[in-house]
Amino acid sequence: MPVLVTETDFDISQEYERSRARALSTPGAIVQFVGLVRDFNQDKNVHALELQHYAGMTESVIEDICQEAQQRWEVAEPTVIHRIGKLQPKDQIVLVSVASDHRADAFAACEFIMDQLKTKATFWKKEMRAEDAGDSETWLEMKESDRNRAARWMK
Amino acid sequence: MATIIFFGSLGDKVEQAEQDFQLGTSTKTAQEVFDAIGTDNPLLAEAKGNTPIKVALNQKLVSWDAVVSDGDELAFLPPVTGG
Repeated sequence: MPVLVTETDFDISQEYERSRARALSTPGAIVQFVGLVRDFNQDKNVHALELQHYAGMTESVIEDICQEAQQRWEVAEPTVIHRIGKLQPKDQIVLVSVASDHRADAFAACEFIMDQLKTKATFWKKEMRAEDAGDSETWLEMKESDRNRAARWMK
Repeated sequence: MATIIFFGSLGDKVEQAEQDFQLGTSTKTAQEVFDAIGTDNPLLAEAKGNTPIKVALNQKLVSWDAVVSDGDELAFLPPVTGG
């Protein structure tokens, strides 16, 4: 289950132990990144985020990203967990866990996986609002800063 | 017949985010399928001008001139916003 798309929340300490066990040799470093749902820009009308994804394609895109990370750096098979469905501010939304002999490879691979995931993995977020005029939903747009971060890794 | 899926904001612009599409006798590219559905849907046609939409054929990214065959799953993907 190194790549998992799920409605269920994850336990970072459990994933830490899994990463530690999965490394071929005794790893010298484990880097974990957890993304949380941000506050909704102080917009009190927004009550939740909902995530849609393309089942099947999402997993294979993330697997390809992880494989590329393993080609570029000396890391064990990374774990990526991404949540879908309805989420609230401060909810955990994504986990990337990477074990390596050395911290430099673990840091780089973890950052690479997140940057690529943000621009390639087939997820779409929408904000759910409750207003006097009735409920509405707004799809979010990709940020220019995310595009730029992903582009830094182009060979 | 092919299955067409519109994701994210595109799904709101069509009657059904997932729909069957009769390809007919002549071959059709992803572009032609999109345009055919967009013919009587100005919102969809307009979206293509405003958003860099990607195309996936059987869950792999392809170009707009990829040929769609019977039994294929063709998906239109607006820019992703996960993570």
